[in-house]
Amino acid sequence: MKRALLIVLVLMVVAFGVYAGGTAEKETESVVLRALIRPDEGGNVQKYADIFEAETGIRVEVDFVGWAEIHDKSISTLSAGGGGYDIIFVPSANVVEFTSVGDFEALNNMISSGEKADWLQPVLDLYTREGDLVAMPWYSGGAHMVYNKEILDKAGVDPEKIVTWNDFKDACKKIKAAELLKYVYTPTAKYPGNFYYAWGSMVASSGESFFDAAGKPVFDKGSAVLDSLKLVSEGTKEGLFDPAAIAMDDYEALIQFGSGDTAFMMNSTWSATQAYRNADLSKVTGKVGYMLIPGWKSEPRSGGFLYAGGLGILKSSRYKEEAKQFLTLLTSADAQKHHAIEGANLPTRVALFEDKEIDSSWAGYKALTAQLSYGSFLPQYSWFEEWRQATSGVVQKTIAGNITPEKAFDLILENARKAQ
Amino acid sequence: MTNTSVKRKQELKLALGLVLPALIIMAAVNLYPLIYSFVISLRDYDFHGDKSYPFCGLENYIYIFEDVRFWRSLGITLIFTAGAVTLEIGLALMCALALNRKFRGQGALRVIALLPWAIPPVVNGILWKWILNPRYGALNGLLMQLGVIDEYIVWLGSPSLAMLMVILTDVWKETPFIMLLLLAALQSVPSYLYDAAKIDGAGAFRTFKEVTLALIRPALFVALSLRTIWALKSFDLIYALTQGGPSNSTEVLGYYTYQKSFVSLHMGRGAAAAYIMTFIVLLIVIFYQKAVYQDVEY
Repeated sequence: MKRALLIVLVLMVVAFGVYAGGTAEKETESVVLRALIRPDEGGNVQKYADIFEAETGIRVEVDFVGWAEIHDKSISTLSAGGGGYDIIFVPSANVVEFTSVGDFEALNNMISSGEKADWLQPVLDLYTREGDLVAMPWYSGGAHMVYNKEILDKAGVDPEKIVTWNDFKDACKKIKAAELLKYVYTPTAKYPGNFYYAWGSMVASSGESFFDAAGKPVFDKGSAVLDSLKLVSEGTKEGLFDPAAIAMDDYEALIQFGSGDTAFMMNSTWSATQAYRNADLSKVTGKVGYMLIPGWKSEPRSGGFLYAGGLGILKSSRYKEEAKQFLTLLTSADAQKHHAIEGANLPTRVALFEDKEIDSSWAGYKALTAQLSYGSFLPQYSWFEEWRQATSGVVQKTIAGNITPEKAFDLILENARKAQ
Repeated sequence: MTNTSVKRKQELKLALGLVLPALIIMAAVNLYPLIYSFVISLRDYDFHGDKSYPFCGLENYIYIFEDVRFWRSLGITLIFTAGAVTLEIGLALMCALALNRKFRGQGALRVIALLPWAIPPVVNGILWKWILNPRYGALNGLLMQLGVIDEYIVWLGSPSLAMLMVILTDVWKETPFIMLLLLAALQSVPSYLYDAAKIDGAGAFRTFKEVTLALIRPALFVALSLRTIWALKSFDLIYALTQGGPSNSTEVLGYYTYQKSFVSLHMGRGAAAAYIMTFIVLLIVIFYQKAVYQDVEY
């Protein structure tokens, strides 16, 4: 009996020893960097990981986690002390969250003060927390207004003349009157994230802020929040905007626009590009035009929300210097150029905005980059996500006509106070 | 000590030794997180805080009980659970009774009927997201072609309709499992009991009530308990299909817990909400056990 127990125990110890020994052996053999990144950037990461391995002998193992899960996976990983990862993808929407949960290495020495001017300043600012650069700016993007040239031509609408949201609404009326479409535009509102490319960007295009530096609501002093609520409410009531927007997300809006069922689409850089060049998602390829997002006044022109992707190194990483080497390569001008051409992501290095190679391979590149100079990033407060969640429900109710824009405004203000 | 008792003791030790590794693993992956999450629920475990996570007693539980959103989520969860489980049990029973009869293609039909259950919950949610798409969804297309509707319906656009759709999606996926359980129970009912009921002059309804239903009651209890537990802690389907919307009308307790943990990043409140949910599940199962479960003798 005792022998049987002893055998079980010995087997367990041997199994553990083999596993531990195997791991230790592997670790002494070569340095392996582990990264947690979303698969959308897979091609770019893989290419430069291979180059990096060929140059340094350091292997980069990447866990690609989809957009829907990467936030939760990152939070769990960071809260558990890093989970053995060296590099973590940090989306612009989650900089505060991620840096609150995890400990990131300061990357200040990766961009010297003399080099700072080479990088997109708002993105650098976004990834700088309490004076430290917490992630290397990798790519950028934002909300864009896209239109179907053919429909606008037929309706006699000149996109150059659409400067304000009132102009936009008039253009929608003209298209509707020409009986070319059932609905002209879809202000997506299914998920809180749709805030980026619909109602939220309408507000941001005013140049007004939702909150001040201390996080106190200041939108009640301006008119953009109420004006934007009125626009989505009235536009839907008048049959210009699709009421199904309440149940549609960015991707579904891309499919709708790509099917030629709407004349305008406000969406991400990626979606704006796919509408033009991806025949699997769009039947209107080649008929797509880009314009600046309308504002609430003629001048100064403003813009919607911007986004960015950064790559941070965890303090728990055993190979910080090697990870820095890899990030230097992955955020180099060459890698960003590849990322822009292949992945439809805008760069974070200023010089690349004038790059002829990207411009010639990416239709509308100039128009899309022009939008970046007008946009702004989401406010960075710890409670912002909670407020955005609550606000999305209010916007849905407004589009559905269940509450008035005035009532919605009060609720959004109340939510802001509660969230804090 | 006799030889037999020594042998029994040795066997017991061997058995214990053999199950010990499994027990250790179970304790590590189940018991430890259970205890640790309870500890978290008693601390101010807020990732936005200073990371000292001090002990705060029952504060997180009090916060949850005072949160209007929690009570609304609880109400939504109960509606979802009652709707989904009732429909699933009813439909599954009907299907099981039908499939319990002998007919050609019975085997193939049983396999086909099980297919929805084999689909992972998140995939099911994404699948239905496209079926219910207000502009390109198959459901609108089908109903339009059949002449049932003359305008596309925004299935996930209004609170009540969205809840109905979430329930139907859950029913589509989960009914086959209940059907399988009930079918197995039906096949264990001895045929002579039906013959006896016939001789006694019992009608179809009485035979169903006194023989079929009575004898499959333990299986019904298992099905009802399991489905209620699963429905009460539903998360994946809601996450993939509606993310609690529109206007939080499908925000079930599982999603509320997720929001507290991964959106508000207050793990203490999230853990407290999860424990409250567990307690509610426990109460309902105890109620079921008393109300439904009975030993059957025949």
